[in-house]
Amino acid sequence: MPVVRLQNVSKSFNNQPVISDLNLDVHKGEFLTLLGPSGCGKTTVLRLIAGLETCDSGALFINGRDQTRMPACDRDVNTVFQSYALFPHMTVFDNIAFGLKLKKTPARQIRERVKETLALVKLAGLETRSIHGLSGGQQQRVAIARAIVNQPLILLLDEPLSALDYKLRKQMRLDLRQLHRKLGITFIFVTHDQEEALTLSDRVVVMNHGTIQQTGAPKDIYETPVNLFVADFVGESNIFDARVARTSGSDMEIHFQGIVKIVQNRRNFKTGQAVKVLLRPEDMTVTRIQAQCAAGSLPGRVTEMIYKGTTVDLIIRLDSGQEVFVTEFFNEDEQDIMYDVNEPVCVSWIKGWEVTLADE
Amino acid sequence: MNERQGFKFIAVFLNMAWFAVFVLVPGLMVVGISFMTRDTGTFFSPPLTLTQYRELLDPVYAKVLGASLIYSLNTTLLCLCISYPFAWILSRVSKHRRPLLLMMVIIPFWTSSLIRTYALVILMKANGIINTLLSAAGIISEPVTLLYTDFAVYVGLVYSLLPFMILPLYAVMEKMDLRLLEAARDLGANTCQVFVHVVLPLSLPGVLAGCIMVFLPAMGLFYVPDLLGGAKTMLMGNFIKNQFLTAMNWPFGSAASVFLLLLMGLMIIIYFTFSRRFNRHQAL
Repeated sequence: MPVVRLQNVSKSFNNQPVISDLNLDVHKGEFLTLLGPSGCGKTTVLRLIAGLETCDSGALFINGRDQTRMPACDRDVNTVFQSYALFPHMTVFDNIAFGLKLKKTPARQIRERVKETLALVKLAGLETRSIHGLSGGQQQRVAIARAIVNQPLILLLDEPLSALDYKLRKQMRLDLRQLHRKLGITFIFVTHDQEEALTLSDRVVVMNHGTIQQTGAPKDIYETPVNLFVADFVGESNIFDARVARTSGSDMEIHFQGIVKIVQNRRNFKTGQAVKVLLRPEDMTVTRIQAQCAAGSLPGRVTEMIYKGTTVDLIIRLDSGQEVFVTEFFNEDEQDIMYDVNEPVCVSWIKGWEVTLADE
Repeated sequence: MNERQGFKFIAVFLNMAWFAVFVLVPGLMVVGISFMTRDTGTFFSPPLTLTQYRELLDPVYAKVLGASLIYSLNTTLLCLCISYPFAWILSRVSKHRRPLLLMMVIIPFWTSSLIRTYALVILMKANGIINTLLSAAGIISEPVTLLYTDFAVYVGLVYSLLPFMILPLYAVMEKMDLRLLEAARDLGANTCQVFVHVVLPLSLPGVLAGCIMVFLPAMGLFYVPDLLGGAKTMLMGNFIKNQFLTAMNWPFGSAASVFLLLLMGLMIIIYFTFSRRFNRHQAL
């Protein structure tokens, strides 16, 4: 039984549909991420689950019970807000104890649980501090503590890391994963940052315009995007227009950029069909030109080389005029991946590393 | 001294001089007179004495004082009860409807409250607008006594002082972060608990400011009971006015004024102590 089930849920604001006919199951104990650009409805999904918004139509089940009309205060769900929303007139202790006090938990038990939770978020001993004396990172941790101290069935996190600086964000990511493992409760995390989504989640839900585009493990989302939106939004990709010239078994021959290449045919494309070929920058390889490029590789010139320490990013203008983005890794065998600007090169990839989608 | 400092000096000096001449000196004179003795010829004369203050504690006068305090207290509570929901709505309505509601508060606020009190007389007198309308509608057969009652005095006081309560409340509520209310709901607070634990504490500075701004003037608005209460009701303001203008007892009137001044000072101290403590919590 899913811990949360959204069934044909729709929601609009001022006659603008924000979510349309959305279906989603969240499994018990998983770390699920809702990923999408701003305005895609991901935060609204979170607020619907929290009970801070009500569905226009459809139903919402939490732990198998219909809670579509259940007010927020009666749901076994707690939220970590993007702005933290800590109570400014209370100390750290009072903020964290807020939910427990409302539930009439005995004072001694409250003290113990607040103490444990503060230790869990690495803020032991800060009980008596006032909120405004805390750094952004500490406020973030208090916000998490205030939610998890109630031991909710589900923890909702609304872009909780977006206000932190890069280093702190990386640290918090690790801490969130550990927290998820220790607590064993379901986390639903909202972000527009694909890196966050891929590194944190068991499962990612990619959303756009209020609908789910793809659901799957981070690896599936990244390696086999089901449409151009997902391919483009999650990670970088080079996209080529191509036409299927011939199919044979699991392979097919495509024509694009003035060359012919054999690629895998995973989706039963027909001869003559227009397709998009997607390639991740790290899946392409660049070689120095030897008189002429080998069959199936694309000639071009380096227009930009960006040294990044562990990788070198190359922007290559193909002879057709299209620009591609290629990432080359340093490795023992092939030290020489530093190219000169304007150097002629050939770009290719290993058959099967491409993703082919129907041209929409 | 450069030009800018010169300007600053002049600006500060002018203000200080103004306050010294028109506030500090008369104030000190009142304090001084309060320690003197009544004199029918010169209004007051030298022998310094505490008689006036001792007399203020006399049950007759203490009763006037007590009654005035009760009028102020009730007026403050009524204003608070009316203003709180109104200020809340004002701070929550859509941005384009808010100016209209605000104007409805501010325009009377700009009109002389003496004129507005006369307007109330016209509304409430025996053959006034309210009675005429009610009898025309057949609801009453003979005029209801509205004017020269406690009710009329309260209507006048509340009506005059309402903006002083609404505006500070609106100021704090408008700044209030609604996400805090959502956070409270998310943590299990029902509407009532959200109000008690979040909305009320966060609006407390506004409540306090509004109460001070209503309570003190409510003691002094002598023309409201004069016009609407038929001079049956006595506020501190009436009492002081009578001492100066009718009884010609300047020292006693001064002592009552000093008492009012001390009360005001005390309330301002309370307000600042409280708001400093609150701001330490809230300043982000």
